[in-house]
Order: sequence, then structure tokens, then C-alpha cells
Amino acid sequence: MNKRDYSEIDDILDKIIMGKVSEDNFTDVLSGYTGDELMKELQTHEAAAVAIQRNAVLRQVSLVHNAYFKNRNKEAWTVRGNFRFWLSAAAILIVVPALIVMFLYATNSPDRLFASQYHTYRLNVDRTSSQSNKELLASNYQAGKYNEVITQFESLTSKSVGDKMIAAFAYMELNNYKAAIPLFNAVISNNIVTRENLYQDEAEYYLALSYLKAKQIEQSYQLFSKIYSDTEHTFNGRLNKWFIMRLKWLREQN
Amino acid sequence: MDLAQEFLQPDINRPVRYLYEHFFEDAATEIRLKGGTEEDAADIFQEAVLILIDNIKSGKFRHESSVKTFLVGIAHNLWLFEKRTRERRASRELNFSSSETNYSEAENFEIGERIFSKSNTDVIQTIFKHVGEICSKILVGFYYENSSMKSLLQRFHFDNEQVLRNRKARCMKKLKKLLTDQPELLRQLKILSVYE
Repeated sequence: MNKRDYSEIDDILDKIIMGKVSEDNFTDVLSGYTGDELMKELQTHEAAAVAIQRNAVLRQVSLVHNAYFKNRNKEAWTVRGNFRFWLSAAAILIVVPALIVMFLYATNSPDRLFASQYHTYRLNVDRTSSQSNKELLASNYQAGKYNEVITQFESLTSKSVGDKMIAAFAYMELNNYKAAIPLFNAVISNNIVTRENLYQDEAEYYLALSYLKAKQIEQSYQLFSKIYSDTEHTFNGRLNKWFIMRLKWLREQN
Repeated sequence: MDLAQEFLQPDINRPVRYLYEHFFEDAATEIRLKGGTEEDAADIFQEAVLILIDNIKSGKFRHESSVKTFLVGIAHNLWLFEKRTRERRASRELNFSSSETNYSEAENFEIGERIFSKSNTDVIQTIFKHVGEICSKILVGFYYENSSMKSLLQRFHFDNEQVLRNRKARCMKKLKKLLTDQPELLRQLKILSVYE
């Protein structure tokens, strides 16, 4: 059967399945087929036409189907994405700082606060001590001979404000804060009596630090608060709100 | 134009979009309530849409129920069938007594041959890929759009009508060969009739 013949048969099969003619009209063209073969050919031809029609519908439905779910998933993703974004933002803005504060609160201690403030005091030119005492105490202090400073200070019969300050600083360097406290207090009391301000700011600041290290938190807090609120104080610039808050926490924890 | 009427046109993009945009969520909710997933709902809904269109184009949709009721009803029944098939595997039971909604026309719909099942539609699409793009277009033009040979000749620029007829016959022959290689699908297709 040549190509022309097959296209003729194809045309006839179309007409039959579309109900336009009966196969009886084409007995000469379809004479090569037995009854069963013709029935099978017709059924397959119609099934092919059915497949073409259904596939044409399927293609259009699939296009809409895919577009619909693509947009739908994108919207769902956007909603999820926004949710994730805001969740992350909330974590960053609320949870993370809260965790940091909790960590700092839990690890807050007098030693940490002390370490954040303490610097070894550097002696300036002494304004009050006697020449001989000043020279010896100051030179030993500057040489880091703190025990010798204490020994010499204890042996003095007359102790000036400057001598007491150097001895108090030496006690601090020797981690004997309880011994430093009365010396700083003596300097402050003396200033009240004499109405002077000799070493007043230094005495207050280092007394507050000594109280802190000696775990006398209330006294330390009162002094540091006074220094923090006094903008004219020499050591005011060393303190900040965060330090005072951490000190407050220590006060609450005690 | 009535929604069902729109499906009688060759271009059905707009009414199909309407079905998805207005009725998918209802069908998906039904399917989810009966234990299906989002993916199940998508596949089942596409099958239900194809069945609805086939019923309309074949003149079987009698407007006894609304398009929505019919569509959601078919989706509901298809899902119960699918679920039961999955559960029992070999079971061919078609009786669904658990339906609480009155789907009237859809309830009478027999889910005997799932010609538009996901597996079948995948095979059909693969077959037409093998048929080729030009062949597919010629065949769709002739059998689906009911275009005349003369208009197809203008569209596809063949030398003359006989060349086009020869090409169309060869395309049909190739398609029939591919379908013969899928006997189960061919058997199911033979149950259906060409659209008028």
C-alpha cells in the first residue's frame, strides 16, 4: 500500500468514525481488509482521534494547573519567608539581647566589676607629706615594693594624708582591701574636719573599689552612685550607666 | 456565556482557570479532611477537571447539578477511590457509602476506568512527545479544532493539500503504532467516543 493509498484510507476512516459515511460506501478501497481487521483498524483510528482530543484538553489543563500551583506555592513561600524573616528579626532584636543580658546577669560579680575599673594608682608630686617620708614611701611604691611601703608606714609616728593614701594604694596592690578601707575613710574624714579636699576624689573612687572587692556592695554602690551623679568628680568619666546597673544587680543579688 | 458552554470551545484556558481559582480550595479541603495531602489534592483535582470537561464535551453533563457540585463531588469520589485503592491495593470496589455530602449527578459517576489518572495522562503526554510537535499540531487542528484541510494548509504552509493529507496520515499511523504499544491505555481509549 503506497502513501497516497494510505492517506485515502485515513481519510475514509475519518469519515467513518465521524459518522459522515458508512464503511459500506468504500468496499473497493477497503477491500484489502478482512472484517476483523477493518473493525480493529477503525477502533484504533477512533482511539487515536480520542487520544488527540483528550490530549488537546489535557495540555491546556496542565498549563493552567502548573501556573496555578506555581503562583500558589510562591505565595505560600512568601508568607513562610515573611514569617521566617520576622521570626529572625524578633530573635535578633529581642531574644539575642535578652540572652546576652541574662548571661551578663548570671556572670556578674564584684571581681568582674572591679577588674573593669581598677588601675594601679600613679603617684603625683606629693603636696602634704613630709619630705623624708614622701620620698621613701613614694620611691618604694613606684618601685613596686608594697610590703616595704606598709612596713615603713606602720613605723611612722606622724601619718599625713598623703602617707595614708600611698599606704592605702599599697594595700590595694597587695589585695588587702579591708586594710585599705579605713585609710581611705580617714582621708575623707580628715577633709571634713579640715574643710579641705586633699585626695578627696581619689579617696572616694578607690574606697568604692575597695568596698566592691571586700564585697561591701551597698557601701560601694552608694559611693559609685555619688561619683556617677557628680559630673565635676575627677573619676566621673570612668563610670557609665551600664556599670552602675551591673552594680545595682549585685546589690539585688546580695 | 455559561461556564459549561465555554468548555465547548477549543480554547478552554479561561474556564479552566476559573475552575482552579474558584473550586480548588473546596475540593482540597474535602480531600485533606479525608486524609489526603496537598499533592494528592492537586492530582485529584486535575483529574476531576478533565472528567468534567470530557463530560461536557461529550454531552454527558446534564446540568442536574452545578459545575462546582459536580466537580467537587468527582474529586471527592476520586479521592475515596484512590485512598481505598492504596489501602487495599487490589480492591476494585466502587461503592462509596461514606459520603456525607449530596453530590447527586457526581455520585452517579462511575469511576471504573480512570482514563485521566495521573499515570495515564503522563503516558499520553509522553506519546505525543514522540509523535512530534508538527504532527501534534496538525492532528489537534484536524480532530480537536475541526479545522478544514484548507485552513490547515494555510497554517502549516505545505505545498498542496495532498502533501498535507499524506503528512496527516503518516502522523496518525505513527500515533496508532505508539498507542498499540500501550494496550491498556488503548483499551481504555476505545471505550470513549470522539467529540461531536
